[in-house]
Amino acid sequence: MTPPILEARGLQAGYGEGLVLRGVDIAVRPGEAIGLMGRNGMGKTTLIRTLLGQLPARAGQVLADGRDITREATFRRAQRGIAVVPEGRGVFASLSVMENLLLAARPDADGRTPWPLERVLTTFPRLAQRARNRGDQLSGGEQQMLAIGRALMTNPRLLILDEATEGLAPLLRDEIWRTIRTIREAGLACIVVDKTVGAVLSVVDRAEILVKGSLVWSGRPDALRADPELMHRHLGV
Amino acid sequence: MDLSGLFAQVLNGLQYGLLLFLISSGLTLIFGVMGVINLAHGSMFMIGAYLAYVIASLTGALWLALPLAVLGGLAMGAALEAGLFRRFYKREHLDQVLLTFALILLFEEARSAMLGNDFHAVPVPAILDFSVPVTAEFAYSAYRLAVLVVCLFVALLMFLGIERTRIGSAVRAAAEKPEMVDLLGLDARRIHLLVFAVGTALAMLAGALAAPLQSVYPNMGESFLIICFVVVVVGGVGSIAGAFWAALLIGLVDTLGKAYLPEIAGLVVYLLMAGVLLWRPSGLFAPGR
Repeated sequence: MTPPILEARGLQAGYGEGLVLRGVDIAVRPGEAIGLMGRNGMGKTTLIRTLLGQLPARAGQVLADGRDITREATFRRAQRGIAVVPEGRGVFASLSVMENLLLAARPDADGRTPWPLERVLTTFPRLAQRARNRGDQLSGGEQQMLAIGRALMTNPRLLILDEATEGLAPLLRDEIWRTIRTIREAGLACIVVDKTVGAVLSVVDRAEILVKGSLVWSGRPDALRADPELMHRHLGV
Repeated sequence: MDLSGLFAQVLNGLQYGLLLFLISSGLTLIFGVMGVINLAHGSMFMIGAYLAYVIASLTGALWLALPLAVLGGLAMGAALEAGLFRRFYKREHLDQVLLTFALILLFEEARSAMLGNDFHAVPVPAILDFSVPVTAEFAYSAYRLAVLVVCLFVALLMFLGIERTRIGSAVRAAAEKPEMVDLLGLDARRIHLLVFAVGTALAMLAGALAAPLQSVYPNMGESFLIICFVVVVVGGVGSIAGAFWAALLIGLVDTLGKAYLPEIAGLVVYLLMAGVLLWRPSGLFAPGR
């Protein structure tokens, strides 16, 4: 079996004195979509930041394709085909839409470009219309599309979406979820973090529930849906 | 009012402002992208001026100093960045200030040991040692005009490089959200090296251009450094366009102030800076907000 694209083994991390992640084991295989669930403050964003190398691991390992990358710099991890749409979107306000996209453009590790500019612009026609506008002239929904489109321009194998629909109007949310489904169908692996539990469960193959820095439950979305008590206790729905 | 005198002062102000832009553009980018307040940036200007003095007295060909200042500045900037500064980006501002202040002392000590502490005049190159008649009764120094043209040309190159190339958009992106640049898989160390090398080269070029306009003297970099910090603050940290317009503004205000309001001239630009810090701390020319 091919090794996971990204894997954590016994991963611990935190800020200052406090430990937030208390030994997390998680793996994403090619083409797989994982919903990272849990209430606020349970460590979802901390886990993502540690996987990406923005926060150092206190103990445990991060592996990419079976190789230990625990101490590798963030930009090298990104070059391995791991792209992220961060919380807050991370759009460059002083760059135009086109500059935001082209700055990220890079073929994948095998030199292929499954997501050329034309495909990204077809996926997000709105970005083509706003091509010359600066990042800070976009609406929240447009910024979100730009953040996702820009991540796709790196031709990733794994796309991490952290709160991709936060702060958006319901119609725009639906559009973002439709796009995420399209990306899924293209065979890209995903880690999805989002507060809208139902929508997450409808796009992922597996849900992982994080409680106080530990994964307490892992399984198929229908198994989670079938257990209202579990949903209520850990997700508050 | 004497119109041709005013015209001359405006040209002087623009020329001074453009020179300030060459120094400030590096200062603002180094501060904006790497977060380092590089006090030693003025020393680069000083080294450029002394380079011009040495080249002019050895060869008599001042123009030779210009490419040498650019190439030497690129090499010096790259060496300082890779050897020293990159270890300090994550340190506290106090450490950075102590480092760059120590560099000022080192560079001034080295200058003193090699070239002494005298003031030196650098002659204007012979082919530019004349006045250009601008109107019937007013002529302007050809060398000053040449400096103006060279600075405008460099400013145009900087603008095209920053606004129209992918590397330029990477620099702007790094000044705005460095962590996002990492997440896109771009190697920020290359951006830092480039910014530092180009910034240093521009400061040395400015020094070489300025040498014939004033004496070459110990600690000359520091007086320029302070006025350039005013430019950086007024223009908005990290913004090349902001530094450009702020440099012209400061150059004009300072020059016209010294000519027409000599009693308070020393204060005017600092009052301007204080006002900007109070009412528009992101700079007068910062986009948005």
